[in-house]
Amino acid sequence: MTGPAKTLRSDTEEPTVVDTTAATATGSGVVLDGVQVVYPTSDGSIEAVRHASGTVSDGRFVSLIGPSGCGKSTLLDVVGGLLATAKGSVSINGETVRGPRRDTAMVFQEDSTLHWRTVLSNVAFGLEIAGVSKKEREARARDVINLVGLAGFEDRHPRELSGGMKQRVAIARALLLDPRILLMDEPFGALDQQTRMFIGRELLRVWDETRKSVLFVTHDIQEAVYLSDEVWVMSARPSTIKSVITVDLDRPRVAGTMADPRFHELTTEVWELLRVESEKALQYRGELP
Amino acid sequence: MTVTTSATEPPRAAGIHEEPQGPERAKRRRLQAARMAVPIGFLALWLTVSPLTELVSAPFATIAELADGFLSGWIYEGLVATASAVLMGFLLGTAAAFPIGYLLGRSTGLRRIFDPLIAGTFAVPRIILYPVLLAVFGVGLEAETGMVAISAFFPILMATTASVKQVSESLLKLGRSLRASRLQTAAKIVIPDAAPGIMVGIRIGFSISFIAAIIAEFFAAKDGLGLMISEAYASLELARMYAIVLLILVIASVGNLVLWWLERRLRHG
Repeated sequence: MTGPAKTLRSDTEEPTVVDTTAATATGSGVVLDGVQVVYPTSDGSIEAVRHASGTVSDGRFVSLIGPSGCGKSTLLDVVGGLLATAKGSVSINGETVRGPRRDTAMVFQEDSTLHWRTVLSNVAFGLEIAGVSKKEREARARDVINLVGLAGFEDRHPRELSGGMKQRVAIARALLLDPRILLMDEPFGALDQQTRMFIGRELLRVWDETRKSVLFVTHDIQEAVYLSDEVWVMSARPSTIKSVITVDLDRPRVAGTMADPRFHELTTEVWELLRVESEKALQYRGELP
Repeated sequence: MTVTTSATEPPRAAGIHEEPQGPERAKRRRLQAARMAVPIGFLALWLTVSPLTELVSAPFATIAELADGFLSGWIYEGLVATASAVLMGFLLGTAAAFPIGYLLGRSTGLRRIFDPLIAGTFAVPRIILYPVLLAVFGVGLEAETGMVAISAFFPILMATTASVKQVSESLLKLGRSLRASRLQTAAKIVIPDAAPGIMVGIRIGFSISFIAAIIAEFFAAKDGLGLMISEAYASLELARMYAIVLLILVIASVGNLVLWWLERRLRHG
């Protein structure tokens, strides 16, 4: 289904166009199976993730939330093929992840725009690395730029953009790769509250049009509930996925969604689960008695 | 509840590249005037001091001597010798320093091995190697070029290592997630991101190249502007001495200005 299984990083063929409508019957979506991640340090090693299991079914929007330092981003890097597991595995549509893949694309929290390039050339960057001709990649980039609401900014440089616009560039760059799964690591973490609410809504609009699977790391409970189909709550380190909360709010989510009593119930439920873990994490770091 | 950090910057005003108007233009004029003040002040000082002492030749006599050097041709041999030693040495030094600096910047392991070595040798005055080069190559362009190359090497190496090391982690992560090859990572991510910092090293390396060539020529050379200065000094031809000093001043400044401009272009796109 997903084209060649090669996951070598120097492999630079044309990206496979992924057919998102047809999912294979077995092992469809992203499957985390008992993932353990261990970091080597100067004095021994740190177990960042102890045991994480879960499935992101095709087209689902899943948020990963947990106390700070619990390994949410680490887990995302594992799914993105940037980190290896010590035990367990991640598979995407039945294929074990052994490195960065064509059918995943990442958006990072920090600014990852190339400051010497224009918006257009930044958005087209992924396809440029994949060896797509300039004419084709720029034509395709223009469509995605329109989709994320950056039309008119094609020739601007990142320094002329706000933080929110830079993240749109990063999202557009990821979308242009036409991945099956979008991996987002606190993409709005550096933005102010108002901006992140608006850009969150924009993200849902784009997601509605493209229907990628999304794995979205955040530390913001309301953001997680507002955006997702499922919220995975992680425990403090050494972490596990402690609970999965299914968000049964209607779609499309609108401004009024946040006023829905059910929204309040869900955020409270997530907070209750998270509170215990956050306390543990803070105690561990010595920030709470 | 949740803690949100706010760290957005407002979008820059539109039309940032457009011609400045009104107060902006007046501001720019004042800036240019301020920049011109230093060379004009220098010239004024020169005009004031030169009549007071026989050791300083007058600006007019100096410029006339320099013009004579070009018209009657006595300056070319030395100029060509120095220029080729500087350019070739600078290019050689850059060609060696850049790839080594890049590798050191990319590899923590290599840095662990070589950092103390570089920090140590950096303090050694490079000119002590000139006698060695003279012994190997004899007096001439080769030894001088070698001296220039060694002098240019260190600042470029250190600037390249430092700027490559500082390339943003998120850009490198992006490269890996896009499965960029080593070459793509170097050409499309690391080098462009590190370019402004590398250019600082290249600019310093260029200035030091000039210094090294002139000092080497003072010491032992067959040709060159430095040699001509010491000869003019020995025979008390002050106008000629100042003419060559002025020429070196102009060449070095123009060269460095070009590099500075290039660096600014790289920094601001």
